Amino acid sequence: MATATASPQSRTFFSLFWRRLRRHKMAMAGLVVIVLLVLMAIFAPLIAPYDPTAQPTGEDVGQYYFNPPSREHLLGTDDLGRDVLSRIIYGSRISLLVGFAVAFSSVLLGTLMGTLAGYYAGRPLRFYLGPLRREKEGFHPWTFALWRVLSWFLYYGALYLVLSIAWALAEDGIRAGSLGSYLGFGLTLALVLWAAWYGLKGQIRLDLDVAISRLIDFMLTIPTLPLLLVLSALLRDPEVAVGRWAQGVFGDAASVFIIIFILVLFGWLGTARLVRGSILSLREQDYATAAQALGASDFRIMFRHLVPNTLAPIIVQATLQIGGAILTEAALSFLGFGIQPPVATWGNMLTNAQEYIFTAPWLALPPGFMIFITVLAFNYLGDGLRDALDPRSRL
Amino acid sequence: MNGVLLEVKDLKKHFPIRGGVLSRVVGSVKAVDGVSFSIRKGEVLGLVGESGSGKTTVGRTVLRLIEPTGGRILFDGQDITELPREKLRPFRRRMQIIFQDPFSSLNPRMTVGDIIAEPLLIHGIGKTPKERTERVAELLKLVGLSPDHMRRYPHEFSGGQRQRIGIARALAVAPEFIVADEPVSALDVSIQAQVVNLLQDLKEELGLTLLFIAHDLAVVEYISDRVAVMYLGKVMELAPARELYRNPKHPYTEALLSAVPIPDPTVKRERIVLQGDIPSPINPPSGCVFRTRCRYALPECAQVVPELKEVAPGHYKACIRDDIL
Repeated sequence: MATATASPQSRTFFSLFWRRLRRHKMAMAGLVVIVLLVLMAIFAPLIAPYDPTAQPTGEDVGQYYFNPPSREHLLGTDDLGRDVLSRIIYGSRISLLVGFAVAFSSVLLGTLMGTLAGYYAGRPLRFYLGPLRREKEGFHPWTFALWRVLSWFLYYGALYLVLSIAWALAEDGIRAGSLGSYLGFGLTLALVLWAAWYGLKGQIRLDLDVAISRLIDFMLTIPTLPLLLVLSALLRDPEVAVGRWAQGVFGDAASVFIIIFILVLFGWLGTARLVRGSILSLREQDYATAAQALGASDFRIMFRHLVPNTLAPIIVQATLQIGGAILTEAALSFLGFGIQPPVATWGNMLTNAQEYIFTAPWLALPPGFMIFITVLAFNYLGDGLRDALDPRSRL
Repeated sequence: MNGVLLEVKDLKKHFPIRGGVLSRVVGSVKAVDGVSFSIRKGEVLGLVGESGSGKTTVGRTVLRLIEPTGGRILFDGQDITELPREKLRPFRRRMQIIFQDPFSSLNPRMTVGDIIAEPLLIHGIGKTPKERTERVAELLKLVGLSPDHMRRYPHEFSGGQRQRIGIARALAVAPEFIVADEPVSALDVSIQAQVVNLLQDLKEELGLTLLFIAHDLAVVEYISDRVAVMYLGKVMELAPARELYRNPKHPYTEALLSAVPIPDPTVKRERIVLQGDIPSPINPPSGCVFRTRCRYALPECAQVVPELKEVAPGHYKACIRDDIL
């Protein structure tokens, strides 16, 4: 037998990938910009010439307001006399934190959901529950009895949980008689009837693919921005239970975490669809069958064999999502529903700037430019990764 | 004679076809429709038939990689047809599979060492990583590769080498029974002989029992003790290899064998060219499924489904005409 040619070092997946990425000029430029931004965010206290939230005090403070760019203030000062450059530098922390956190979490969630949906498509899971469950072969009677007791607890426990959450939401967030309350009531009723029917039959048939895919279809029909506004208002409202909870858990950082949470809530859908599609085709590959023939668990087949092979589109998706998340955060903050002042973000800096766009244009341009350059950098990097990770492309 | 290791009784696999708005079952593809055979310990049973005859489905259903619609599968005397997954796991150690396509059967993101070590990990063979590595090296040597290959990825190997890796993975759990699903069909002819010889040697050395699926009649004759011929989900003829090739009793086998090229240009013989295509397994012909293309067909062939019956010692055929061949 001839041995495989070429030394293994020169042909590893990563070295090929890196070589291809390096030839992608715009992607490399994007990468450089991103690295600089990350360094800027990390070392913000060292780089920033002033405290981003410090306002001048004392007599005649008016002279510090709306200073155009000068030697002391390279990008000028804003309506409260704060240094714009320092605010831009500190704002990168929020933007990048939101971008990375949102992309990471939603890709993680999307991959999990997509994998489950794709792997179990056409193979509904069956749980045997309830009083009428017939004894199946291959179970010890004691195991069976124990399982029966446990399943009752699980089954009614889950029902109780769903009902109480629905109740709490309805009581606090949704006014009685509104469309939301009818919707919530209908959904809960349907869930109870579904569980009762299958519980009596002794079997719950859970088609994960249908459950997840229809959920995605449904969520994609919702116009996101208005809902994001409502959600962020709800979560911020101390009169509402969820809002109190959010403030209690996260305290001062609440608005950042709320933004991240809301963006993840709608951010995983695309990844989930993407992953579902590739898992659907990968699970028919012989190596998946081989793993099954070896007695591997579903978990092992999914996460050891299938997910690593979908990594390329997932990484690309994550990169593009960072840009998207930064943009959405900016939009929400611009509309006043995102990160609240005095914390500086590029989005809420724009909000302030719009009033003075003609009198003090130096307030609007820097944050706009930063958003533009950051999103562009991530998008180019994403494009480059897409080409570099595709083994068919011969760049 | 050794005891029977695998017995398959009236095995059926019908894939449902769904249609309409409510995706109701509107029909079924009868991929395997009542197949029975048994394999003795240490024996190689060849399974031949044209594309779409259900060979691969039989192989996978026997291993419970596809759930059978009907029939029984007995492995070493135990009925494994309806065993739940957990109870099936000990059997997974005893029966394995080798795939046709050496490119899709190995995970491209795992090193060869990891691929071969996985079965050891799953079944808890070899307690420490060192023990497992030793076992992997042993297996690589067994299939004619070098232990140095352990840290490489599948794409660095040729088709034949990959097939050897697939064989090493199957052998890792020291199985008694292996389904070889067209293991050489995707390889160059020059490499085919190497892989077939490897399988032959391993069979002798390890006392394996094989279900060897192929459409290459010459390869099957070479390696098999007995051969079953399938057509449209049914076994047409089953006989010891030599007997089947010298003395085919079924019109379909006769036609198949007449298509095997003889490496001698001076030999003239009658070629039986079958008319038309293999009928659809969704709606197979009544009676004998082969009657639509059979040159000996009688009107009665459409009436009765012929049973697989013994026509000579150890020689079975499913045909109502005893007066031919």
